[in-house]
Amino acid sequence: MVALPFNSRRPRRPPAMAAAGDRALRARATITALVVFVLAASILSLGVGAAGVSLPDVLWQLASGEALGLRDRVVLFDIRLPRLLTGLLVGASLAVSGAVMQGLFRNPLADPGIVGVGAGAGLGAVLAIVLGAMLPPAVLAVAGMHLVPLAAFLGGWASTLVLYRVSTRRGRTSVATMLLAGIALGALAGALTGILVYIADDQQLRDLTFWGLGSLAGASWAKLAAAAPIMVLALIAAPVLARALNGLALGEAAASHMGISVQRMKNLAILTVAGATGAAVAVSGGIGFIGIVVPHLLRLAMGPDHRYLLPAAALLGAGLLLLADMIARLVIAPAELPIGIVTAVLGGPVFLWILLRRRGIVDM
Amino acid sequence: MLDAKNIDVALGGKPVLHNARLHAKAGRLTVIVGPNGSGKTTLLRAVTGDLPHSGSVHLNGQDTRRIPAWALAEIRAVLPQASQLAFPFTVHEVVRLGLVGATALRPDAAQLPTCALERVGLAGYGGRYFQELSGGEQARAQLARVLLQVWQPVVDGVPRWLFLDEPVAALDIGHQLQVMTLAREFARAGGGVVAVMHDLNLTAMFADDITLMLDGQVLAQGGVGDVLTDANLSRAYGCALRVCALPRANEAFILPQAAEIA
Repeated sequence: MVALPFNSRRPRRPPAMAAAGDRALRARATITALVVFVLAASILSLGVGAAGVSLPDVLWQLASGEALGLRDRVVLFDIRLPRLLTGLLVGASLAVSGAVMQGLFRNPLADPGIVGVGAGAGLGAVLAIVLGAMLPPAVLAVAGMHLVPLAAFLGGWASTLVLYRVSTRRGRTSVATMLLAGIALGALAGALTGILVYIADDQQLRDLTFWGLGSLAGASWAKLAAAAPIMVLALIAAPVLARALNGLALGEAAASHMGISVQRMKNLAILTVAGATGAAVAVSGGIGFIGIVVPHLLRLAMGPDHRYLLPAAALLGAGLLLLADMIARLVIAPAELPIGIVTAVLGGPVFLWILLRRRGIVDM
Repeated sequence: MLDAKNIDVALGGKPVLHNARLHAKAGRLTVIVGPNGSGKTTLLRAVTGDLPHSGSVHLNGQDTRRIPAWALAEIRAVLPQASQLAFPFTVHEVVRLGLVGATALRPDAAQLPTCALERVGLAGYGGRYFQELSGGEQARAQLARVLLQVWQPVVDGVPRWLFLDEPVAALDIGHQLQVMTLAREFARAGGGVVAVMHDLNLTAMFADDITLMLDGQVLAQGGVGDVLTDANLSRAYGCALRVCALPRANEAFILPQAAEIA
């Protein structure tokens, strides 16, 4: 136990490899592998579908200078490409908003679906589907197909604001209050949605059911244009939060002593979650488990450092959603399953397996 | 120089600190002592801005409320009493969180977490999960993180500060001495250290200045000999205490047994 003088210590030599417990290299390797995975899933996704347009044929035609047939062009550029991009963005948004919310709440089980943001977005969408028809024609003409996505986004945003107002006192957000308020908000939104379902006619019920189960089938350039900017903004904001979320793992006081403007970062985190979740729910309905399973798997693989976790979650979320979408398209082709069913069937057991393997995380 | 004046804190409507003050000089180890519930930790948390309070806190001549969080983190690190860590970080990753500001830009930054772990006697613990450590080891890992944040006690002639809330409470006697020695080394190198302590003998052994608290107020403030007196301690702790001195170094120690003998 010799006290070493300060200032005098310089490391004797740089270590040849990373220090024990430093998982940065593993994280970088994981991210590299995920980039390859997403690229492969994207190429596969372009080649799979009910229309039987095969990607090698199309590429061959392009390479040999032949003009693409009209049908191939429509299938590829107007159906599969927007669907691919929507899947990438929605998967990334769901996974990143899950990871951000879990970091904010310091709880690996927190998820936008749990704190009522998803329910709020859902209520907005249902309102638009059921009551949209009663709007003046002029408004309908302007809003058009943007009505449901827009309402879902506004619902998610509004519920986040209410949540925030309820659980923030004198500039401090209480995580416990926020979780409880989220449960209340979710129940309220669920009840209002239930009332609307009673009012709905048969066609609207069909729309509601499909939307609620989640699907990428309705993906189009127009829908993408309405929702993509919000999702892209949220994905750009997420890396800014990484250091703050790492600090918050030690508690708010410790984070602020590390030089993090805690309240500002919490505001940004809440906006990011609302934006990413609202916009994702808007284009694709309720797709569960991506936001909770993806960050879990990544923490197991490479540790919880948010500087790597957030980009990795975006990649894994995007890739997994593309895979789920391919399964949804192939299982009962030429019809297709709602993607929410696929993610629940795959994600539910994985989630239970994680809980069984590491019971400790529930207490953390 | 740390100068906190007229600090009033009320928790749940009940006044906990009244007109408390705290002075600490860079280059010295200042210890806050007092019985349970006297407001030691409350005073430290008010001074570090964790509790809403009235009064003023100046650090290195600047009002701390006017210094942005990132700039404050460059000159001051705070060790909390105990903290719960969310998510399975390794010890190395927890310590690495202390790499902020200019320290993170040093060319040897990547090796500093390992050096910090060596300093607190946790060499080789970097690869373990923080949650798997014992309470005392967790406390020392947190100390390594805090040390890393203010790695050089003086930067460009400006002293940096360590605020330690019961840094040795969970430690065995060997590690208590090690941690207190670290704190003293930091002060000797020009930095400022403010620590809340329970152990009067460690306080007598390591402190340069002492603030004695009782019922939310400062009972005595000054050098070891001025504050650690029979009268002060007996009054503060509500029992007979006698301050004795080691024959050779004239270093104070406190034994309840001694009061009975006298």
